[in-house]
Amino acid sequence: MIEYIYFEVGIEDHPRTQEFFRRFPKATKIPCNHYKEVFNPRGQSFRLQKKNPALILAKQNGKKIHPIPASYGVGGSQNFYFSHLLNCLYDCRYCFLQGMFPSAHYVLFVNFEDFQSEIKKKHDDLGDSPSWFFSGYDCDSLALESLTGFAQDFIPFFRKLPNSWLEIRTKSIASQVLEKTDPLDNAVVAFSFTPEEISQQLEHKVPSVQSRIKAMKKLANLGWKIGLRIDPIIDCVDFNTRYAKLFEQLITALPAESLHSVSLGAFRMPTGFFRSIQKLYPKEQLFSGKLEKKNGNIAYRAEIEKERISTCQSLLLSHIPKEKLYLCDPVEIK
Amino acid sequence: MNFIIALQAEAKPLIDALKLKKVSGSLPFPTFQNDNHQLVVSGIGKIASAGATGFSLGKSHAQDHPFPFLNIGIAGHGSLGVGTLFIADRIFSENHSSIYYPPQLVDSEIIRSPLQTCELPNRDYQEKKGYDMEAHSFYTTASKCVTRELVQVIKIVSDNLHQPLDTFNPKVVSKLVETNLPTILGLVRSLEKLANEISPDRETLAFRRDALHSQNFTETQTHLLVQLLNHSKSFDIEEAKILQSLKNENSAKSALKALAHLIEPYRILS
Ligand code: SF4
Repeated sequence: MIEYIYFEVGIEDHPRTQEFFRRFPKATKIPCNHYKEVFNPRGQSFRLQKKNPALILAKQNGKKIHPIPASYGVGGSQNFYFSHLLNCLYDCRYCFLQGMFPSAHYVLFVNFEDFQSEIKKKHDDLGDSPSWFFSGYDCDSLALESLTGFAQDFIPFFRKLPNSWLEIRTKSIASQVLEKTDPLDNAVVAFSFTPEEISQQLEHKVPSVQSRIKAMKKLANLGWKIGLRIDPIIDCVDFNTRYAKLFEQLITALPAESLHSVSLGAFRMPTGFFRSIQKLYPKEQLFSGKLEKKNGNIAYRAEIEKERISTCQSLLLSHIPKEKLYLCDPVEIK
Repeated sequence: MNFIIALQAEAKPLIDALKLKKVSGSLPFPTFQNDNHQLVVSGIGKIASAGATGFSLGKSHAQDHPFPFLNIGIAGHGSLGVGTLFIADRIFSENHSSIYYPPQLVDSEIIRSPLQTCELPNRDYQEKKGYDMEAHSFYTTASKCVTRELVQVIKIVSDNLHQPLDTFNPKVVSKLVETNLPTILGLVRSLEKLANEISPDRETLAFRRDALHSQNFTETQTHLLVQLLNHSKSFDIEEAKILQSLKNENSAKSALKALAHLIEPYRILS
């Protein structure tokens, strides 16, 4: 339920803004000049705001498409991300957004058309070489679909750009929008997972692993390509047993041909973000793990990280061909 | 909870309801207190309000426990009726570029309204907004030290187009506040509850104090110790065991080492 809508006065008449006003007639509407007036001030409590975030409607005037290194991709040589939405419905304790953003309010950039023309331009510039566009970098791509209409708008758009791939990264089971439309050949619906016990402990408000597997299976059976994102890998007791069980559950649920890729990513976070999140949740066990500072990031001690990734690799390779397995190399912050 | 209120007449109903006692001694502002509340009567205008808020912040140990700050008072309004209570959702001032948007997390029936802080009493009620003389500088000062969700401004309409300021009878000020007291106290309770969610509990603070006094820690060591104490809390390690391990050592350095050693086996998610 949205009780407060802040909106930039410049986009008051945008059809998407007007649509929100119609859908939430009881919400208090508060004008602002720029979304950063509401979102950016220091001295806000992400933790308290998370209880009842407001919606901020804004226009993204800056650059909309950003490059990411190939080492973060799943096979493409040109990789980009874009953020139509800042913040997430869910509340994963390891999520870097809590450390990066001063506010937990949802910022929705209503000018989807400008994102799309920048993507189109990139597509045209790159000619025949396939490029990847990752959504859900600063949010979950589907969790707020009923609010944002993101997939409903971007899927038909990508259907016209066969050389451009869209990754829809999610932990949501709100996949009706995908079920209702023909699968998109150049899209991957990428579900992120941690083992059930870890998910219960750290992924607050996220649907259970079982229900996500069910949603994923349904999409796979409808012909959608599925990605598995084991990211972040979390050190825990009974690590091998828990991750082996998770992989078994995931792989057996999917028809082999629907599995596009599996990627592994270690738990890593820029030190500044980590410190902010630790202050929000000083008693969180995750932050008291066997961690160390490396190259501007907080991560598991090198020997643990190496061991856990290699365990996951070998467990996965007993189920899938190595061409489908990707390791996400973290960006080193100097 | 800290209240910053311009006039004694506006403050009186709260002083009575919360049984606040006047703090004796030579203080820059009349101050009233009980165990959990502090009320400072600022006087009229931005400078007085900023001064009283700064004074209150200095007395409230905001760093240990995030106490909410509430500015209450009467205000003119462009559309609301006299006696109506409203909470400011946007606060701006004629002479400042900064605009504040106090995050609204408390579920309440109180009407929300923009509020403009003016240098002089307002006699023009053109727009649908409130007019006061303190809120902006109160917010500027309080939000420097207290998280914005806990800094709020509520006003009661005293004058509008139909009953302009010149016809206002100052004798009814207390009555206006008194009539809205149940709603105001409800908001106070909700803000206190919110503050408790992000405050370390009293036992944790006492335990931390004991641990800090167990050895002569330098500033850097104190920082490390607090970090280790938080870790020990996250794994529910017995406090007595921790204090003992610190006290058993004969230097701050070895105490930290002993504590790190004690926590090490726990450092994994179960
Ligand atoms: S689902 Fe993703 S974006 Fe949302 S809170 Fe969890 S990690 Fe963050």
